[in-house]
Amino acid sequence: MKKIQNAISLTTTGDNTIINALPKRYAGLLKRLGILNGAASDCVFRFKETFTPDVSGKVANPGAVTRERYVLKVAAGDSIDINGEPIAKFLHQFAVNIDQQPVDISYDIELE
Amino acid sequence: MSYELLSTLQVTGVGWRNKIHGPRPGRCNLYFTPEWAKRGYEWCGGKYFEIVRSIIVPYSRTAIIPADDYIDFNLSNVDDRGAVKGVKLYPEAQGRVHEILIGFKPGDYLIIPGIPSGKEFLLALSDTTMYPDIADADRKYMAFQPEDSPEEDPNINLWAIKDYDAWTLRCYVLDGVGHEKITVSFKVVKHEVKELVKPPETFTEVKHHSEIAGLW
Repeated sequence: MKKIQNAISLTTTGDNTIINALPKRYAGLLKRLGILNGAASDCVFRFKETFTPDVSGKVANPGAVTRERYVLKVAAGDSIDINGEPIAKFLHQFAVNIDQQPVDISYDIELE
Repeated sequence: MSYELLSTLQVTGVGWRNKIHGPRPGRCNLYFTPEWAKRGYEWCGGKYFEIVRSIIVPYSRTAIIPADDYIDFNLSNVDDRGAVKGVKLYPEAQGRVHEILIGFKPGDYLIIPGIPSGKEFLLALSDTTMYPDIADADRKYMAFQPEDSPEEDPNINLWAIKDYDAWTLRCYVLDGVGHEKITVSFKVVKHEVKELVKPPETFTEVKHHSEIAGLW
């Protein structure tokens, strides 16, 4: 089993920060997610990814697609650690959009 | 400690390595059925060969496509063209045989191996209407699932020679799953073979696809 483990501190809101680009030949299962909301307000975490699909039998000219994979609201000053069942599956990248800062995110992604 | 670790790795690798052929002392003899000669491959049809040299080349291809959609991996030596991905796994000379193990990474998709130009599919039934078809609500499930041939222990084994008909893997992403990433993992074993004058005691019979396709 191959696993990506990392932690990141974010101080910019509103953008779609790419936390990790998955290797091309792997999808990724988010298996653990730790969040510390260090802001003075509740923060909504939107984990999403953007990718351009391959040409397929029905779509000759695919455009970029953004998919929201997991959304979580964390109270001001609170921390959350989710560990156990797979949380979300990512095909291309692991990215997040936040509406408050600063926040800390730690995670385990199992490559499959 | 290092010895134990090495042993574990070797045991892990035995699964698929046990399924392939190679030079002596391995499973080294092949017999191509006479059907090959009838189909224009006189150099090998009805003849016995010994593998004198082999090398394993791992390779994989991947694609992200929408639900209820498909992509074709054409294993022959053609370029990518639209939804057809040319994988180019075939030999380019006579006297070379490629043994291709095919495994899949997990995902919500189905795999239909066959030679669609002649409607010859590996998974078909005897009735002439019973072959896989992704446009048909029922017959699209006449297919492999990724767990039937996992990457680490592949169960699909195909043979290819120069200019052989194009094996195609039609990969269909199931409806309702958004997008899915399809990853097909190949272990291509390149064999150099020499013809044997006398039949060996043991050999592996290599059948033409018309002999293994579903309509028998």
